[in-house]
Amino acid sequence: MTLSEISAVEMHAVDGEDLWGFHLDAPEAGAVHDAYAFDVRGWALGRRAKVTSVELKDGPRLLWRVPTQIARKELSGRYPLAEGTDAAGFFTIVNSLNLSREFEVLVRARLDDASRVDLATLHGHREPLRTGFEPGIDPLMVTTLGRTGSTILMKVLATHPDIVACPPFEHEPRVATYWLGVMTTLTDPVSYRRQINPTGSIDGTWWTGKEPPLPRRSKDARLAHWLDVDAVSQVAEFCQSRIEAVYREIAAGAGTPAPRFFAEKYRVDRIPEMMWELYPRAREVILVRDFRDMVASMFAYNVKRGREGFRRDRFDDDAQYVVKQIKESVAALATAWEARRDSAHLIRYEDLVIDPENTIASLLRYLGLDADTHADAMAAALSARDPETEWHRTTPDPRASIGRWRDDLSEEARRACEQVLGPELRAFGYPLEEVRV
Amino acid sequence: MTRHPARERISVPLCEIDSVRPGADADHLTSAAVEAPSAGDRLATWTLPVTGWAIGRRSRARQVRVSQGAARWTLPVHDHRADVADRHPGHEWARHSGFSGAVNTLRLRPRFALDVTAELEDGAETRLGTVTGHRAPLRSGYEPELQPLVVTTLGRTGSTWLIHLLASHPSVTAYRPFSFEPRAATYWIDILTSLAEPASYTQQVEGEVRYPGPWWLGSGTRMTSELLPDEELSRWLGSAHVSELAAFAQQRIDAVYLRVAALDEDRPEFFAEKCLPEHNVPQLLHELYPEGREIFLVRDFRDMLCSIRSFNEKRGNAAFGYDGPIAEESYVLDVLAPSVENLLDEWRDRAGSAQLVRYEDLILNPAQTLRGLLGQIGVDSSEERVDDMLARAAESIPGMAVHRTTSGGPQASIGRWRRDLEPPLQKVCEEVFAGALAEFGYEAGGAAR
Repeated sequence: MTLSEISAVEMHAVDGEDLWGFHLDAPEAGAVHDAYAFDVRGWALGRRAKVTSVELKDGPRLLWRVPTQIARKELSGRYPLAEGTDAAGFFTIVNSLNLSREFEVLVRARLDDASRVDLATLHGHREPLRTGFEPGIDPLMVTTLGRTGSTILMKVLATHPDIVACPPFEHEPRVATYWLGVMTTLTDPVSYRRQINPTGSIDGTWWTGKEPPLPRRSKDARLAHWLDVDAVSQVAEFCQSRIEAVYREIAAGAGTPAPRFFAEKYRVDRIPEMMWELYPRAREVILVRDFRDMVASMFAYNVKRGREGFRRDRFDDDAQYVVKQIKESVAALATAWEARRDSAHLIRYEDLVIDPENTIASLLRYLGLDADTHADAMAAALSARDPETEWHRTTPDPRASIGRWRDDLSEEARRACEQVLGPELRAFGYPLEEVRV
Repeated sequence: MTRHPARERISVPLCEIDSVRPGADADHLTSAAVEAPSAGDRLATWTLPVTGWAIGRRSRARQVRVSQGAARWTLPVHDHRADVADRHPGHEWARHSGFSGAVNTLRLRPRFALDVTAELEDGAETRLGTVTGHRAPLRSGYEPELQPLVVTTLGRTGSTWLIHLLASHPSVTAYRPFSFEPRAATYWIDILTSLAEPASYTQQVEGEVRYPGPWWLGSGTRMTSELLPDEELSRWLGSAHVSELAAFAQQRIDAVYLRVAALDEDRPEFFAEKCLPEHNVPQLLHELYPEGREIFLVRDFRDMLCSIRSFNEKRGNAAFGYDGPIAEESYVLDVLAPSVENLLDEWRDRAGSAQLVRYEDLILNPAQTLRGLLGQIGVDSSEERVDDMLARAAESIPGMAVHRTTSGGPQASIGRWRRDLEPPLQKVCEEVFAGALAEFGYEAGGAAR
């Protein structure tokens, strides 16, 4: 049973001034694996500077940084002038459940001077993860960014008797994200193989498996297969059962005895994708807001709280923040919407505020819930004022927050939005002429 | 459809506080108090809240350490406490002198004594108090197919040989002990303990998602009452939820060892696994498996030291906490002695239910020792069975030679400390290990009785 397959290994042209050479022993193009994992093994010999580690990246996400510390004796004869042949080799294991089903992994060398040299890109795919779990409550994912009205939307959703959500809504409940994080770690071979082959120290969080030496696959094929396939599915099933157990507990406390959905916010990462794999009846709302207003709201909220949140503290000025941080997040959200627009439901914050009845009715129809009975009550919850929602507000009235960017953003920040957010604003139906400064 | 009963309750107190003895030191502290817990508290969770304040005299209190042995939590001193400031006018550090957090008592022994210690910015430490109490044993509803046969021991005590011997009994399964030393039980109990930590389970409700690390483990300590305003949810997460995690850990341990047993088409009653006494793993296994068995395997600690030294030299690396070129005397005092003391404490806790095996007896009188041990475990201990086990275990297998550090056979390893240890180190060992040696049945002079 093939669970992971490497369809192509694209080798990058490497400048001879950077490296004496490199080689990827594994994986090879066409390699198939009866596990949600594959080994990455090879060597890289630095010329300009020593290669200290090899990094594996999934888009912007760093999967591994593994030190080059394996001796490759054959290299000393081939590269007599090179230093470091006694520690040029690397080995690591990639958990393909930590990747999209169609994946690209960049393999690159990190040199002693902190520069990087791209070595290869692995193209592959994996089978979806399936478990025997039959959910009694399905996920209603609200995939969004910060300051898009997600907190008030959660509150609105929680008023429906078929939907359970975890109060208080000023917190960020991450029940499903938590358990999928646990699952991703425990279904990683570097972790689960240590039950049988506990390489390295047995101390602290040794069982997460990230500390070298990494355990190799058992040579006992039956045991290895069970660990790689059956046990992985069983661990995933348990994580699903915990999500449901927590939400049943919350539902009991909320007086929602038989919910059909558990509503939770999700970041724009790979967790919603995995939720779709595990829950074929899942629903997903992609919640957006004019990203210029979103940025203005972030800045106002930072002022209100008296600290720089949303990673604003990592940048010198607002424009840089928009170009580097906001652009990446917004682009990822647009990509997620594009990938799942056939199955997900788009809500624009502005529509929710200006036309709550129709926006909520449309959402309930998407969820397959009765839109006639509860839409009005949910719309009323949207405008209810209480200390919890008041703390989140940065304008006296939600309607007043629409288009606030014209007054609130500096000219530099507005120009930055104009320069980099145009495609995403267009994709979500925001008029581009508004971008002009 | 998978269903879970909601609002299932554990009705008995899971943690009770016997006393809180203050220990504030006026030299270092202007004022301090441990406000929670209080003597007489009866908690419905295994989570224990710890709160209070500490105002340093010459230096600001930086953090408070709550600890018992290797189990320790750190609570930053930074909570805003207007009430404390009002009572201590003129003390600039009083306004943010509060500390609060919650600790997982499953990391503690059933009867515990927690030290609460303030660490000041000038490096001074002073005890705020000692909390004594007891917790309920961890129970789950899981009915295991296999019972643990835990070998609680330290490194280089002959434990691999003992596991190998036990695995040659048809009622016991173990997986290739000379090649891999499986730790499936330790793995799952460590996961259970980590997820039962309030710092972790509260992340479900207030998630601080930070990649790429395992953010869901949480960091530091968290006050569950602030993060979980739903008291019932808080109680459930600290009690029934933990029991359900324990049931899953047991189910996985079963699954792994049943799979191992299936490789040889065995139908065992026990799985045998080594456990270090640290991290409370043997204790929690003892609580979760009332029908389980535990063997404390000891060896003259001076011979153990010799064997550690030889094994590290043979492999060319530093293992067993022998972390780099530290003086051997320091290694004995700072690493081995606490480990031995911990092992002894564990033995005292469970001597009523566990069996003691001395390496020397196993080597010098294997048949007699094994027969007695099997009898106590409650499996076939006939002469024929023991002879068969010893014959099978004596067959050479890959990996066995790597474990040996003496050339004259295991018998030659007994009392090796007399020739291998330098006299000053012998003296240090005599002083440090005297109590434990005596309690485990070794003569002060060194030879096993």
